[in-house]
This record gives sequence, structure tokens and C-alpha cells, in this order.
Amino acid sequence: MNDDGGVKMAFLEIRDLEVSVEGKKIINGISLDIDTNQVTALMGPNGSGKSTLAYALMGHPKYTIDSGKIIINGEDITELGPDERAKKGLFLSFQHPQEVPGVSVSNFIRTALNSLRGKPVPVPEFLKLLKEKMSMLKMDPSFASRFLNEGFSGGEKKRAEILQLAILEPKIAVLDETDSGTDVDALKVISEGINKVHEKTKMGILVITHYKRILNYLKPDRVIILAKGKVIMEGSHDLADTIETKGYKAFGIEDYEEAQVIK
Amino acid sequence: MIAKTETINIEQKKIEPKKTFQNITEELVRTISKNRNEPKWLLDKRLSALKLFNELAMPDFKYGITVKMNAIGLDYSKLDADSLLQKKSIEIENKKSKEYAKQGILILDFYEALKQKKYEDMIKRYFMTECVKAKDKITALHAALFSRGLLIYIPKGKLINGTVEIDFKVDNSLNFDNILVIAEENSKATIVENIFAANSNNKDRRENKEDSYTNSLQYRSSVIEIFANPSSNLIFCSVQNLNRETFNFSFKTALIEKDAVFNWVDACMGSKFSHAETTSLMKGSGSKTNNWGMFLADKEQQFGIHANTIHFTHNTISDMLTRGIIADNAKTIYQGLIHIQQPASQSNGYQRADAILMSDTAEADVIPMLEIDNSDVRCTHGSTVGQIDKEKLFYLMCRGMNEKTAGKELIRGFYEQMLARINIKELTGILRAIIYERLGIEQESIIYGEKNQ
Repeated sequence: MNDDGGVKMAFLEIRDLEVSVEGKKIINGISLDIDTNQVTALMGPNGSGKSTLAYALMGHPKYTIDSGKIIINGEDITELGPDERAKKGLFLSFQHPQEVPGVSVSNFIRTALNSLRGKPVPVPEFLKLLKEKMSMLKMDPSFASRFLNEGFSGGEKKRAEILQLAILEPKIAVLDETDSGTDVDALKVISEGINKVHEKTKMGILVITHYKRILNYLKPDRVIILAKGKVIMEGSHDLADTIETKGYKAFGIEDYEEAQVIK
Repeated sequence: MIAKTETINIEQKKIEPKKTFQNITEELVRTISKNRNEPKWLLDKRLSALKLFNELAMPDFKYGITVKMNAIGLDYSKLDADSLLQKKSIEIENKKSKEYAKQGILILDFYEALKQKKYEDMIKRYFMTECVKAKDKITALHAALFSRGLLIYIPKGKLINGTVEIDFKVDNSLNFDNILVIAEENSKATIVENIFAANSNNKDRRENKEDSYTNSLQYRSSVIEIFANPSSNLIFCSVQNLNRETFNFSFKTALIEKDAVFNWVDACMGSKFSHAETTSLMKGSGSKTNNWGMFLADKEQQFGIHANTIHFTHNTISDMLTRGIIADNAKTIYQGLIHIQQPASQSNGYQRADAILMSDTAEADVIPMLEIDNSDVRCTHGSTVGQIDKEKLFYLMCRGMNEKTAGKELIRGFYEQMLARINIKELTGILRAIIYERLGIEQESIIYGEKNQ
């Protein structure tokens, strides 16, 4: 933790965060620094609070912050709405993105980009950008005119999330189980896409996952393990290997099934 | 406001000058008819309708379960009945009517049609006889005072390419408009009726938004009757965008014969108060109908929307789908009825209505009704009245859109999804212009892909 004076602050600082959902405490005091140009993997059994942390970071109205702070670039954003957080550089790739019937992929992303930039992006410039990023993610051009996420396969939804990431270029991207629902080939394309954005923009990444698969591509600088709403361990890439082979039991925490019961 | 009966003598005008219906006299009806050189049967039809009008009480429009509408301010004596004496025609671009004529479709002003025996017989037989009858105060008044109309005749086997567009400019104080469509066997056409106030144009609106909505009191009554003969394939779309002082009443009925396919698209956007009925009478086996509705009510607007499908015979299929937005202090009531009659075995009826409330003071009732007199049928309905989906709103806001922009985008999508399903280019164009203007979205800022055009 680098909150002492004189040490450079991380872009995103989470301080003693406690979060509850519908009166039930899920996050029990988490402090975490996520900096730009850094890849952090967040692992843990189901019900450990990973997705809750992601939603709380974005300011979902159902997730009540009981105490603690979220700080971006030195500014306390705990009270800000999701749109303001996005403008400050936060991005969440959803595990289950919402369908937006009647709004095409291209219109959706352009409205988002206009909102973030605070001024309209000329259509030709936008279309050029869209085309470039879609081709990076090996997406068919017809994809742009489909209604966002409506009737998309699991893999298509994730690709659409990363397409938004690639165009909106946040400072910190929280990727909530971007690997779930994708096949091996799609995961490779998506991961390579994320890496390209990372290389270009030096964004920080907080990748939430159950599996090592995606980490083979994203190569996290560190791995953090969450259980019962607390950080119980922080380590290098090796931690993910241990989880993969020995399960969470190796760390003395409930395995998957037990965690489910608690949840 | 409600006057039961009125005696038509000039003296009474002097005694009770504020009587609501003082303008509506036998003399007026006779003059309207005379000015138009109408045949006697038509004058008689008007006079018997006037008699009925005088006998009937004014409806109070207080339908709905929790929402009560009220036609406050509807005072016929404040309307200028003399405006009916003037003969006005309906705008159809000349070039286009020629084009339609070339394809064999006939679009005739009622009074042109009446000059030819064949079409006079047609009007005599079909006009306000089977589809929309003078059944209440409002329809009786319409039959007594109608002042302009179109006869659209599509001969046997004629397939009309493209869309027939009809512009209804509503510029009188009192307006009684008709469209009578007769589609013969195996014919096919798409008709788009665009109804707008005389002084409404986009430029005026942009420059002086509020003023364009506060025009003078107008009354508009419309009767649309469709005869879809066997194996015909017709779509009739109506976009109503009247000014915010207009009381609007519309009665649309289609009689659908064997193996015919008939679809309604009814978009209720403008007016102060609207009572809109859209009815499909499924008379022939193997017939199909879609009833697509859209509405957008804001400020003080009140809409009562009634969609009815009556299955008279076996193997008939109906699908009703309505979507609406209610904002500010607006009130809407949607009533959808599927009536499957006893002989209508193996029929299929489906209806769905979704309304989104945009403010705490907006009110909406959605009332789906099923009447099923035969057990060998399939019939389902569903309806929702709610607010914008909070999870969707959160998703959009996570991408940087503020709550207002995110809400607009979701509403735009709500309508765009309907437009994509209906998929009629001209209709889409007209409705987008209205909806986007009302939502405050610059249409130029939207990218239309091939699929969503």
C-alpha cells in the first residue's frame, strides 16, 4: 500500500471498502491499488465478492458503499454516478452485458464516445475507427448494424464488450469474466485485442476470472485472491497455477461448492 | 359541456349562445351537401346521421381502470362550422398519382368518384355501411358532416410497387376526413397516411418550439374503411401528428376476407386528446392480420387507444403489438381486444402491449382483453407498464452517457425495434423525424446500417 506521503499514488485506489447488496455485506474491507500499465488478476471462489467489487467500482445503484473510498487520480469518486466514473477513465467489461434492442453497435459506441469526449465525433472519423477495431477483433462488418447484444452468442457479446474497450480507451479496464462463454479461438482473438489496447494506451487492467486460461494471454503482473469479501493473498503469476492445479483449498478457503452454499 | 339533444332553430342560438352543439344544424348539413352537388342518397344519409347525433348523449371518455381521461375543453360551439362549407381536397403529389394510375391503382377524391356511376355505386355500398357505422355521438357527427375523402381502388390482381403516400393537412377548425380502400382479389399495396397540422413544419418547430404546439382549437374526425378481398395483401399505416390543441377521433376498420393478409400500423403522436380505434374484422378463413401500434405522449396529451381483432371464422391468425412512451403529465389508456367467436376454431390470437412511463406524473393503463368462445384456439396476451429498465440504464451510463442521454437512447431503440420489424421505408422516415425531434435527438447523428434502414 502506497498511501504514505512521497510515494506516487496509483491511478485507482480502493480504500477500506465495505459494500453491501440489499442489506447483505459482501465486501468486508478491501484496500487495493490499481495503476495504469499494470495487469492485476482477481481470483477467488464464487461468492467471494469479485463481481460485487466490479459493480461497486462503477457505481451500480444497488451496491451500497457502507464505508471506505474509491479514489481516481487523487479524487474521491465514491459519490459519483457511473457516467462520471466512465469519464474519469473507468471501464467495466460486463460478464453479462445487457441487450440494447433497437440500438445498433455503431450508434451505441458513437453515442458513448461522444459522451466521453464531450463533443460529437465526425461520422467518417468514427466509422474509420470502428472498422479498424472491428477488424482487429476479427468481426464481420455486418456486426456494426446489429442491435447491441440482441441475439448475440456468448462469444459475440464478449467481443462487443472488447470492441467498446478498444474504441473508448479507458485508463483502467475491469474485465469481469471476459473469458466465460467464449470458445478457445474467440478467447485468443479477444485476449490479443485486449493486449493491443493495453500496449497502445498503457491502460491498467483488473481481470476477474475463475480460470488461468485468459491469464496465459494477459500475463498479469500480480494475482490477488479474494475470499468472503477480503483480500487473502497477493502474489505473482504462480498463484494462478496453484489455483488451477490444487484449487482454492490450497489456500485454506472453501472450495467452489461450499462457497456456493454460503452465497 | 354535455348537451343531450339540441333543437335546430336559430332562435335558440340567441337564447343559449353557449350551447356546445349550436353550430351543428340541419341547415349546415344541407349546405355542405348542396355545395358538393351530392346525390340525394348521400344527403339522406347525412340527415339520418344528424338525427341519430341529436338523439345520442355525448360519451364522457372516462374509460380505463386507474387512469381517467377527460376531454376537457371540447366545445363544438367554439369551432368554426362554416369552414366545412369550403370544398378541400387531399394532397397527393401529382407525379405520384400518375405513377399510381399507371400501375392501375385508382386514387380519387370522393367527389370526383361520385361523378362516375361505377364509383358512386361503390361509395354507396361501402361508405360507412359495413366497417364503421354511425354508432355513437362521434361517428354519427362524422356521418352527418364529412367533408372530404378519398376512394382508393386496387383492381383484381394489381400489385402496387412501392408505397402509396397520402398527406392529410388538417387546416380547418372542424375536419371530417375519410379514406375508403377497396382491394380486389389478389391485389397488393402499402398505403401510408401522414396526418399533420397545417402550420407544422420542422423549420418552425426548431425555431420556435413551444409555439408550434400551442395553436388554436381544432377538431378532427377520421374514418378509414378497408375492404380486403380474398387473397389480397394490404398494409395501411397512419401517422397522426396533429397540433396540441386538436381533439382527434379516428375510427379505422378493415374487413378481411378469405386468405387475405391485412396489417395496420397506427402511430399516435400529436393532438391534445385522441380517441383512436383500430379494428380488424376477420371474416374469411385463412386470413391474417397484424395490428402494430406506437404512441408517444407528453406534456398534457391524453390518448385512448383501442385495438380490436374479431375472429369470425376458422383458421384466422392475428398478432397485435403496441409500444408507447408516456412522459410529463400525459395520460394514456390502451385497450386491446381479441374476440374469437364460436365458429373460429383453429384460430390464433396474440397480443402484447408495452408502455414506459418517463415521469412520476405520467399515467398509463394497459388493458388486454380476451373473449374466447371456442376451445380449439390458441390465444395469448402480455402487457407491461413500467419505467426504463434500470439495469440497461446502468449499462449505458457505464459507457459515459448521462442518465438523460442513456434514457433517450433506450427509448429510441424501443421504437427503432418496432420500425425494423415493420420495415416500411417511408413510414420509418416520417416517424423517425417526429420521434427524434420530440426526444431531442439530431437525426443526422444517427448511423443507419443496411439492416436498420
